[in-house]
Parts: sequence; structure tokens; C-alpha cells
Amino acid sequence: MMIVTHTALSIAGTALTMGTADPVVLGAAALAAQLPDMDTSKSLPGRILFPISRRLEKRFPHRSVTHSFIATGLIAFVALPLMFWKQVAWQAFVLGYFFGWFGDVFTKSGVCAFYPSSARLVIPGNPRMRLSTGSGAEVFVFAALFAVAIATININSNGGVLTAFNKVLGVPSGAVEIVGEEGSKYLMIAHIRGRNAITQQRIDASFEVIKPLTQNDLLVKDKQGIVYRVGVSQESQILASQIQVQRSSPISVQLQSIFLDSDDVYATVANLPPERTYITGTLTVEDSEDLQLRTTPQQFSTITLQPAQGYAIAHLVSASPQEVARQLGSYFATGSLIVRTINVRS
Amino acid sequence: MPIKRHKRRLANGEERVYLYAVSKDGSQRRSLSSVPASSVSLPLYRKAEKNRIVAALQANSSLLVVGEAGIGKSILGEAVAEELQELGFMVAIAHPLTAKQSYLDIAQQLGVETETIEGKSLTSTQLSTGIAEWLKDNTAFVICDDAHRYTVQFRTWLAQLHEQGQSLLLLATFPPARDIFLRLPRIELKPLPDKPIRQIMRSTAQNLGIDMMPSQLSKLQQRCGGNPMLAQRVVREEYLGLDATNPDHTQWIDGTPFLIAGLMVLVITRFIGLGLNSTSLYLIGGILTVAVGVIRLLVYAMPRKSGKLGR
Repeated sequence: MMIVTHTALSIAGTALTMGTADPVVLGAAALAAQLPDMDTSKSLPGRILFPISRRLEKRFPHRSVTHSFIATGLIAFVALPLMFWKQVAWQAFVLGYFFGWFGDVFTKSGVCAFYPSSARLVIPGNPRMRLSTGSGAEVFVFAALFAVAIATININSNGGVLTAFNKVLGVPSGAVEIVGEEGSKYLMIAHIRGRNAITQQRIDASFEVIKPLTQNDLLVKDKQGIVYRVGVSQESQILASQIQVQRSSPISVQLQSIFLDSDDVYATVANLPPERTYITGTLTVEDSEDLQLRTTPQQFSTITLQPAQGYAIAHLVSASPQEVARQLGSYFATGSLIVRTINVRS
Repeated sequence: MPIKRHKRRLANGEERVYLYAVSKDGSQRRSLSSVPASSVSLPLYRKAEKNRIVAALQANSSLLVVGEAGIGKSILGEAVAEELQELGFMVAIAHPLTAKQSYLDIAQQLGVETETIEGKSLTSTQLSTGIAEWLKDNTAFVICDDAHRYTVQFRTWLAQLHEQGQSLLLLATFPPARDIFLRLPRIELKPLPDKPIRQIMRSTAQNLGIDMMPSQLSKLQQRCGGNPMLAQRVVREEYLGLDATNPDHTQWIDGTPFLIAGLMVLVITRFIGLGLNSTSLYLIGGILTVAVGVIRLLVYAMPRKSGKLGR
């Protein structure tokens, strides 16, 4: 096999098995992939490591001792100092070496994988179906491996195979998984296809994700700031068939805990930043006989009320300061609230 | 008398090999032959096997030696014959001819009469009976090369010889598991290690008058698989400037089932997805299952390795 094919196979294999796109790690794998061919002075690694290759080629056939499990074990042992620097680099080095010789299994002569046994491991069994070094078929294989390597690196640098799969397919539960993983670092935008649960209108639009609500539902808001529950449950305002989430700008999240003790709600929330501030918690609203929430079934109620004798308990779920001020601003309340403020970094 | 061999370089640069019979105390010495060094066969790399076979034959036990074509059975047979002759025994080497020709060949080697008193050639039956009778009264060994190619008639005769207590050495390339082949104790010749194969390649190159780099030999050696005949052949092919052909040795491990099994393990993803209630993982597992199934189908639909040479 040509050097480039060994490199492509090694990078693709290591990136796939380790799920990494780190250039140092993949570089270690690519470097190690060249080492099995140090058993002949005709190869580039053999020319660089001439004292070793000269000794090896005098004694052993090509693709024998260096292309074996025993050599891989030896390399794993020799490369142990790498562990102290970076454990993943050591793993990649060993994996890279393995993929380096494993590629030759597909060549006409095969490799002595089980050295000291002289039997040669080949795939497939028919020699006519195997590769010759530098043949047209090998160029084709190289092109395929190169594409796989690039795709894998791309997928790994964007959150891994599962995330890529979720993004493409847009399964609601997958979208919730992505938001759960990346929502604390990036502002997430969800492109939702589905229908409005009440009006049955078709929906195909982008929304800003606030947070995941359940394993299958997300809380999102549109450009006007109207909040919707999106997903597959009965409580959803938008029944989604597909949710494709994408990263937008990086964010920093600020959390604040507020305790009210018969305090004025308006005064408490008035000073909070208006943009992307979400208040969650439970308040006991005093003198609330005349309190009635203005809700609409078409949007998610970020504040729900549980009336009692002379007071009411208000449950807040990611309510905006404006909404809290509008609904509960003229009341005094007791309780604790968590305020989550998202700052978008440019 | 033990035989000794010496290699000498003459004044004109020619190398010759001299063979002497030397008495045990060294007082008597008789020249047997003098031949050019290039025509002398390679050193024997299967001394242990040779000694074992010679000992077994001397203990009146017959043996079957099997191995792939070119692994060195005939060379071993010749070495055994040489050793037995040195020990003073009579040896007949049989080759796959017609039954009558084989009987004639053996009879001539053993000195058994092949004609009647009237000068008429004996028939096959008379010859085979004559040899069998002779072997009852005399100690001699019969070495049968390429035994897998013998006719049924000849094999039956060999079985009769075996039954009458005659020591036989059969050399065969993967013979069928029946009659005489099944009855005899068997030695399977293993591929030669890398070192002797390299020596054979070097000496073949030397005989052909070409200078080969270790890297060239190392590259060619991967097509030999421990087979000395192939070791000589690949050097000759290189000498003739021929393209590399598909390797013809039998030392293969087909890794296809292992690869498929390894890929099948990925199907576990589906069950992990099911267990973790992750729809995406379950779907990925499903896709992998189909992909592995398709790969398996394609791999096993590929044409099988042909037993014939060439495309």
C-alpha cells in the first residue's frame, strides 16, 4: 500500500474509533501508520530509520514481523512514555500502528498478523479481489478513505456521530439530547417542522431554544418573544415532526438566586436584563383574590397559578421579567426564584 | 563407509564439490565424485525429519510424509535414500508411471529379474509378485515419491507390501484420506522458517549470477510462505523480469469472517439505544445492522479463490 493510503486509513480509523478531531492525536496516528513499513529500506520510513530497516530486511520477509499483533503490543509498550504527556496520543499511536499494517491485509501478499506463525492474514480470500500496491484500485480505495477521513474529522469536530445524526434526522428526542449537551455553551436555534396543536396550521420556521423541558419536548421562543412548548407530548403547542438544532453564537450563562419575603414583585424583576432572562421558581402571592392570569392556549404559560384562600401559589417556568412584571407586578410575594441570564458573546 | 563432502576453489576460479567415502579411522579414502559447485543441491534444512524417518524405517515402520507442492518432500526422500544407502541398505525410489513401468523401475533398482529365463519380459503380475517375494527375503526400502498420483492398482500393491511387513516411505501432496494413505503413520512437513528460505533465495540468485539486495529478497520472500520451491521460483521470475503473480503457497488465514464478526459487534449499538431509550442510537444501530448485512452479502457474493493458475 502507498504511504498516502496508509495515512488515510489510519486517520479515518483512529478518528472513527476514538471520536476525535484533535490534529495532534490524529498526527500521532498518521506517524505511527508509517512505522510497520520500516521492514524494508525501499520505503520512506525504512530510509529514515535505515539502521533498523537494514537489519529487519536482512532477516525477515516484508510485511511479516512488523505487521503483527506482537509488534503492535511491543509498540504499545515502547510508546508508553507518551502516556505521561497525553494518554489519547498514546492510544492514537498504537491504533495508528495497528491500522498501518492492517491495511496490508487487503493486499495480494497479506501480512503475518499472527507472527511467529508464517501464515498470512488476508481479506478477502480470493487473491484476485485483493489490492496491488499503486494499482488503480488502490487509488480508488485511497479516494474513498480520504473522503471518510475528512467526513469523520468534520463530524467529530461538530460534536460527534450521534450529534451529526440527530442534526440530519431531526428526531425530537435527538434535538433534546443536543440541546442538553451544547445548550450551556451555545445559543441554539431550532428549525422546526410540524403543526400548531390548536390551529393545525403547518409550521416550518426557526425558533430560539430556551431549554429542554422533558426528554421529548423543548421550550422555544419566536422572534416576537412568544414561548412555545415544542415536541411530541399532548401539552405541546407545536407538535413537531422534525427538530433540527444548530449552534449559533457562543454564550455565557449567569445564574442568580433571588429570595422574596413579602416583597414587591415588580421592584424585584424590574432591574433584571430584559433580553434572554428566564425566571424559574415558586412564589406565594399575597392578597391575590383579584389576580387572574392573562393566558392564551396558543402559547406556553410560563406562569401558572394555583389559587388558595387569600393567597395564590404561582409557578414560574422560564418566565421573562416582562411577563412576571405584567402578570404579578402589582403584588407582593414570598418565595425563591432562580434567574438564568444568557449573554451572547459576539 | 561415511561419506564426506568438500568444496574447493580451483586455480582457474571454478568451484567444485568433491565427495569421498572415508573409513571410520580415516585410514582409507575413496573419491566418489567431483562436480561443479553450482550443480550441487542445496543443503538439507529438514535434518530432524530425515533422522526421524530413517530411524522409523530402520525400526521396520512405514511412514507417509505429506505437505504442499514444493515444500521439499522429494528432496527429503532423496536425502533419506542417500542416508539409507550410506548405511548399506538397498533403496528403490518409485515414481508415478503406469503400474508396469513402476514395477519395472523398482525391480531394476533392486536387482530383481525382469525377464524369464527365455529372455521374455515379465508381466505386471509376475513383476509385482517377484518384487514382493524378493522383499520378503531381502532387506530393502521402497520410497514412493508423488504417491498421490499413483494408480489404484499400484496403491493396492503397496498396501499388500505394507501388510507383509515391508517398510515403505510414501511422499504425497495432500493425498485423499483412504486406503494406504490412511493406514500409514503420518508426518506433515511444515513450512520452512524465514532463515533457510532466505538462504535458498540467495543461493538461487547466486547460481543465476544475479546480485539481489536484501530489500528485494525481503519483498520477494513474502510470496514464498515457507515453500522452498517457491523461494527458487520467485528469484527466477525476478531474474527473467516477469511481473509478480498471485502467491501460490497455502499458508493463508482468511480474515473475512473475523472482519464481518467485528462489524457485527457494532449491531450492539441498537440494543444500547433501546436500553438507554435513545431513539437516535437505536436508529444508528438499525442502520449499522443493515450496513453490516449488505457488506456481508457483498463479501460472500465475491468469486471464490480458484484452484487453477492464472486469471
